Amino acid sequence: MGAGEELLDSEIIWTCVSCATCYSRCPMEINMAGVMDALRVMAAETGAAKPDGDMPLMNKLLLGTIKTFGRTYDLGAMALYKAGTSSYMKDMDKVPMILKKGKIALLPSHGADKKMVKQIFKNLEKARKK
Amino acid sequence: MKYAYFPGCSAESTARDLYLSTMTVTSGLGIELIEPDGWSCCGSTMAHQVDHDLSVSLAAANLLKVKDMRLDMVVSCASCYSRMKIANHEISTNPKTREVISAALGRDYDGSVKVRHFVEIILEDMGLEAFKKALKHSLRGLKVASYYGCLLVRPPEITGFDDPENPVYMDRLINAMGGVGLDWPHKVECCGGSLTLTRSDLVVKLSEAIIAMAKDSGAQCIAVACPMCQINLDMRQDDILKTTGHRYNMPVLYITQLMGLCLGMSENALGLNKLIISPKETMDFIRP
Repeated sequence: MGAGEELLDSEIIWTCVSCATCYSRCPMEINMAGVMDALRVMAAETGAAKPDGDMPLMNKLLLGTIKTFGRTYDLGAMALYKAGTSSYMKDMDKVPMILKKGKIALLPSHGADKKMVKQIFKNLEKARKK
Repeated sequence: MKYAYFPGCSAESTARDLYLSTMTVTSGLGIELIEPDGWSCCGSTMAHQVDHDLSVSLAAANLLKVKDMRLDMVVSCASCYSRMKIANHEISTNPKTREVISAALGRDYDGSVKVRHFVEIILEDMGLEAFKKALKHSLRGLKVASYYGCLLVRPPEITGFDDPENPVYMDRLINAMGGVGLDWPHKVECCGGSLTLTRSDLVVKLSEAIIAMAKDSGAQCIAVACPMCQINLDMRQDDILKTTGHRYNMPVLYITQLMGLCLGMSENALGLNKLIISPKETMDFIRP
């Protein structure tokens, strides 16, 4: 407690898995999962966040697919993430196998109410500027 | 029994098997599921780390569609379930949040749509006796470690699913099907969930602890109800072998797949061919 900006550079806010075990068992009912989320937002905003595995990049790419398609396009986000982190080799051995098994979608979904999703992004951006 | 069904993005991709088996089982049990037109991502796993209002709005957009249908929302993905419950909780307990979210959606939403997990409607609405009557096959004493993970049970005052420290809902289904729902210690540990692609080194460690405990407890397979748990526990066994030399060969099935087998549904209709660790031994064991 009382710690300041050093928290924002810390790995721990990105290795937290948001499992909420701490919150569920805390006798003082401190919502640590919520605190971690708030710290992640602040760290990403100040540009302090460069954790191992670059979770902020993954978050940005996945949200980008939601903004475009209204639903998550995981293969698309994964490809861009691999390009952004130069980690082509990691997990690549699995891609042909999961594609063959139909364990991941090759193409993005087109069934979502994209208008609604775009409106949400737009309205929240507008509200933030006010 | 009629519900609005929210499949979630993984239903079209990494959890196609969960979607197929949910659909097959519900039709076999005479449960009607209706998808809301144009459902969109609930914001699961990443939006809450980026923008609180966005994460609540993305879930609420779907809850609002279901409110218009005047039905309860059934979800089979634990992650979507968690996001929907959190959105309802925040909107119904915080007037400021309700105002912000309603402005983002362009319509007021009060947080009132009831969100249920698929397992809950079988136990609470259909009842175990009616479920048992529909069964054609038994699990023949198959020992199953039911793994609940995080998102169904925590935080308990928001999700309200079963018992947060020792849930038994899936075990009750397994026992009803003639299997043995094991009493084991890692039911609600975390598999590493959303870190699967960014910190797979951590996911491998966390997942191995769960699989090893299931094996030590005598499990012949693990039953799950969450797409992230399924893919971590199933796909990462190969990485566990490569990094530690430990070979588990532990099948990780969705609870809906086990239910479908006992209802006499075909392997393909249940998406069993999509599992990475082959469930062949499990199926051989339960075949008469």
